[in-house]
Amino acid sequence: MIFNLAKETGWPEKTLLWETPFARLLHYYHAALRSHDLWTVKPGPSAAIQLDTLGKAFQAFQEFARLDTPDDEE
Amino acid sequence: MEDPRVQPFLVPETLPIGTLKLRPFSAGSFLICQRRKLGLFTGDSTEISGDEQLYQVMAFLYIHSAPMNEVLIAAGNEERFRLAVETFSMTQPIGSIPEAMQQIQALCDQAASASVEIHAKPSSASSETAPPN
Repeated sequence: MIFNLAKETGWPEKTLLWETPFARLLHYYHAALRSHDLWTVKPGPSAAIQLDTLGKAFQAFQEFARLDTPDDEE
Repeated sequence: MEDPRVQPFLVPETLPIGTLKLRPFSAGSFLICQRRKLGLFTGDSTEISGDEQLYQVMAFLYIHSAPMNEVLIAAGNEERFRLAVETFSMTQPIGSIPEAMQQIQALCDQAASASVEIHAKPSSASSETAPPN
């Protein structure tokens, strides 16, 4: 992906790898694929699983923080 | 309603979380997350314990706020990385964690909505247009 984007844009590797937000990079990559007449589709469940995991982690932390508040100790 | 795909183009260069200023969640930092098996951010793991989740959130903050060279050196070795993250986490107020998790979730959401896979064209219908996405 980095090689292809460097070739398309002429941007240095450092910019692509470290300075460009990942989501933006993926959009540029998508645009590059489409501009070369490649067909693209949304990926399957991996993104949904990832978001679900983060959501559960956030809920678990909220419960953990609630249990630890001084009000609850009284 | 705003197209969610526009969102990644409207975010600031550095993301403030508490007292930290985070570098962008980039392809390079995604590679570090993969290398150090931070499943929360790579989508590789569905079952992560509570302690491990907190560790991974701290690791994310460390990767994006500590000096780049320090992070790259630490990321090369699991023990060194874990020690660096644990040392870093000692300096972070616990109150910043919920905000960090929300911001990280938004970043992962943006990346997830931007990701696509290449789809093989049907050989018999080359005149068809690509499916919308």
